[in-house]
Amino acid sequence: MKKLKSLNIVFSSHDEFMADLKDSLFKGKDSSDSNDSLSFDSIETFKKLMTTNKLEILMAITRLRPKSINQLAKQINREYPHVLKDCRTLESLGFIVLEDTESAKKQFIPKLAFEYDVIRVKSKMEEFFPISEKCNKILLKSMVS
Amino acid sequence: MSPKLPIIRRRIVTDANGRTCRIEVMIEQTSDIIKYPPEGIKCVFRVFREKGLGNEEFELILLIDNHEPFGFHYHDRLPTVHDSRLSIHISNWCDAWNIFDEKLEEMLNEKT
Repeated sequence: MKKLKSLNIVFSSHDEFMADLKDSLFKGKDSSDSNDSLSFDSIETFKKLMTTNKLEILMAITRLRPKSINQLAKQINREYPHVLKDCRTLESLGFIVLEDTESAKKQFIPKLAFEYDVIRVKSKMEEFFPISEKCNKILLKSMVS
Repeated sequence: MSPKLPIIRRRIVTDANGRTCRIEVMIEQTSDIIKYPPEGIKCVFRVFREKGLGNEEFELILLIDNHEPFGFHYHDRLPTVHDSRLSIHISNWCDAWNIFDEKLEEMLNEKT
């Protein structure tokens, strides 16, 4: 997985998260890797929010590069209001950003929060959700060889 | 000991009422010492919460930051009023963190 950039989903209790954060704040512990991480309180919270539809949106954003949410809705063959709602949630959770355009019509360009190839869920059983085409190719290659 | 900046932490939790919340902690060094005196350190501690159970539409409910002309301040009338600010008479982000930590704990555990 060295060539791939991952968005790491990690799980910790509130106390563990706070203790780790306090180490960074008050003891100078290096936290550079946490910029690529999103911490959840439980796998249930993650699974409740990360539906198949939302994963499909993430894949479409990186593979099809839509210029608007309207275009994205057409690309994935879903209704615009539902795609907009999912995009707003993904933005609120930190998976994507909705970039404002200068156009007269209020349009947003959906983009990944950073160019990650895979979502790596670091639970007891590690799971990988390939997002980019590059990730798929590498996975396919490793399965064949 | 000084922290290694930037510190950026994002966390998603379910509160006592079953609503999803996003917690964000950001402390970064900027070159703007006028906006973030005296050293240009920008601090943002904030929480977004689902408007209703399962609604997935998020609103800002807690924000402590430190830009001028207010210095460290707390947005005291969220989520309805965004530009109402209450100055916190502290000098550094460590004290601001303690206030945020306390308010966060209350918000996550408060049953409505």
